[in-house]
Amino acid sequence: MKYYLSLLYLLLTSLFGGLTASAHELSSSYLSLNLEEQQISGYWLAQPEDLHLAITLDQNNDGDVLWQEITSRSEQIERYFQTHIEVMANESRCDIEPENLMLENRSSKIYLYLPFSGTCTSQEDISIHYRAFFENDQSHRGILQLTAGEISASTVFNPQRTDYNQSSTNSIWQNFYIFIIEGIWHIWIGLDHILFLIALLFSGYNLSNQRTNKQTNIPWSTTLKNRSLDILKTVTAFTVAHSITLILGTLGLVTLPGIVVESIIALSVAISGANVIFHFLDRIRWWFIFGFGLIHGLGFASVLGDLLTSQGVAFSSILGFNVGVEIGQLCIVAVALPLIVALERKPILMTFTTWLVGTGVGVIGLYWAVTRAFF
Amino acid sequence: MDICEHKRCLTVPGSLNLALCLSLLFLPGIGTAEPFVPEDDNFQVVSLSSAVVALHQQLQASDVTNQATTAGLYPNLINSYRIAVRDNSARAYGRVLSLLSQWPDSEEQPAEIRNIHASVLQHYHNFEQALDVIKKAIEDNASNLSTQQIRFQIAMVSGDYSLADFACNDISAEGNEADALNCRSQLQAATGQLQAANDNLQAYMRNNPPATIGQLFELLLTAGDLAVRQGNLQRAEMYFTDALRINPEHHYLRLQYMDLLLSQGRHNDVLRFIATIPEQHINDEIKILQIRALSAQRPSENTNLIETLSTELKSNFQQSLEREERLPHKDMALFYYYVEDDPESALRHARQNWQTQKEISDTLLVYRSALDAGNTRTQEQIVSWLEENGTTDVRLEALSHKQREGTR
Repeated sequence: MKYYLSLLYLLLTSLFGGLTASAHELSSSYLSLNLEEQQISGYWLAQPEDLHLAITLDQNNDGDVLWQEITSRSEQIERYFQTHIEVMANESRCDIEPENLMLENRSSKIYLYLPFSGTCTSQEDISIHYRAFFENDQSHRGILQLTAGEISASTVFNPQRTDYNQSSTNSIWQNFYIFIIEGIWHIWIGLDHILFLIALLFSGYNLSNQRTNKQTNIPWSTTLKNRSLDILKTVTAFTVAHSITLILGTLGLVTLPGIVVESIIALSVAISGANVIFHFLDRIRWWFIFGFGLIHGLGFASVLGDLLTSQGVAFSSILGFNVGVEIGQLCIVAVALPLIVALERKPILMTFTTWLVGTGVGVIGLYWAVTRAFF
Repeated sequence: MDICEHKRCLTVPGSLNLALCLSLLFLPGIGTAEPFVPEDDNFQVVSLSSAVVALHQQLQASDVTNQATTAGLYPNLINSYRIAVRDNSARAYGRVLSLLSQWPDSEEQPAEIRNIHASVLQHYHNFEQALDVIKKAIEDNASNLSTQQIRFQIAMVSGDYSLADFACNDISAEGNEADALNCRSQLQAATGQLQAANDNLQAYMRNNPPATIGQLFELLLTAGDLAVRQGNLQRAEMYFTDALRINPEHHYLRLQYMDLLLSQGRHNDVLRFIATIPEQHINDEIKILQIRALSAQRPSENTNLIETLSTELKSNFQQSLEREERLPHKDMALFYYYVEDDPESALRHARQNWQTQKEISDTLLVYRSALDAGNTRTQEQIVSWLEENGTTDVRLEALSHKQREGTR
């Protein structure tokens, strides 16, 4: 009961406190490995506090860890390293010998620096088993940096991920896949991009030239092929442009205020809608598509930036998101194109639809442009 | 780890991530030095924190034969959690998680252990996992008031007001009038009944002395929050000061109090108050408040200290990134907004934070950033969420007024 009451107090104290633990108390170690042919070398950086909890460094219990207390425990430290960190190559354990202990300052903290060297039977199929400190502290993280010949890799060990296998590349592909889905999803829920794309597709139909638009006698396959080629060029120009700014924007190399990007995207929707009816941009169509594609890319970059703030920028993420955007676009084209071709065989219906699309997209785009810029 | 190593990982597949490399390249003052051997054997490598000393004592005292049993784990869990809360120690929280993972599957966890588990998960902002633990705890024992209170707080923080209503009903059934009124007032204040919440709370506090000091503390805290939301800063300060007398180490209260002082331009008072906080309790959010106060006070005289604090903050953010942790989005948003004067970056992090945390301070942060960044989409999203819930607050009204002014 005494425990329970004190606990209740503690709970109430912490419940509403919500204090993030101090960063200087965070337990991290760094393992750097370099494998050249069969020679392995590297170092392990561990915090004295973690080693103290594991093997007692402060032997006189005065609260201070002195250099002599560390050197007097060097054998235990080396043994701890060897029993808790295992490097394998081609399923055979590497023979690693720790060298003289040193200290290193990193990010305003002091670490024990344990260099090591040794041999492995191979340079291939490297695996590392890391289980230092987790027994006492599940918030501990071991940060690995590995170089083996031409290959370099990093990972973070945690209680759920204590093994690293060089052959395992799942995480990259999984990340790539996740961002493909994000890209597709963003296009599908981004009405402004969809309307821009649809307006571009409809702008290939010229209202002022209705007689030549009578294509009812032309075979379906020919119409589809001709329109597909035009649409392929359109989508490619848009894609190339937005890919450039998506990458530059995500890397932070090109930035524009959100209000500017969003307003110009809305304006591009309005102009593309008007162009469906008036065709005033036909002469500079490709520049128009490319130019506004650059701006749409910055919009995509803003979304991707939000997704990446929680995990950092990986190339697989940027590539995956871009591929996803293209797949999303192609899906829309795949649905819209047969419909447009079918409508073109009914000129009256096509004329009506083109007016409707042009007016609708133009008005919606204009509304967005005004509200995004001024409200 | 030199810069060349980081450059290499830009081009090699399988590398950690580009952001890590870029940030390591561009963040000054967070670099590394060469390894060294101290010349003096008596060189003090580190002074252990009280939390590490206490945890070490606990580990030494643990009976090896008994430590994997519930009888051995239980006192260590309670003790580690106590250290974690008292010293705000990440290692102690990590120790609690380690001990929880050792709890035998065949043994039921007592209610208090489940509550600790939920609280630690809440501490790490793993709200969904915490709610799962709470669900199991309630299935076992529906009448545990602490469990209901944890559930209520998680629901309020994450803006799930229907769950908060549900939890508050359970608190009302299990607790006394003060507990019930406390949760009901917080919920009402967030859902369009600020005035009613305040009236009820005032009436109760005038006529009914709470049963325990803990209940009085909670009521004062809530009353202070409501007063701030109504713009009655004098009354809010009175409540917060009274609450601080009861529990001067309460982190949320400290933040609210300092924010109140800053909003009145009382920078010296903020700095004086920070000087009273133990070093281990000075987290990133407090450091940002300190920078704001220093910058407003005498920026030219405080340049070095501001610089040092900024570097520490960047280093802490960097560590989170390196450790592949959930990034401290709120702290980063505050840093970019108030220290770096970069509302675009602040908005990016504030939006991420707002996905999981929707307390009034989170909402104000994302709304302010969106206004300064000129992001109308986010402004609309926030306004619509506020309208949907009926949330009122004088600071939100001021921002809304600013939004309208900006469009004229």
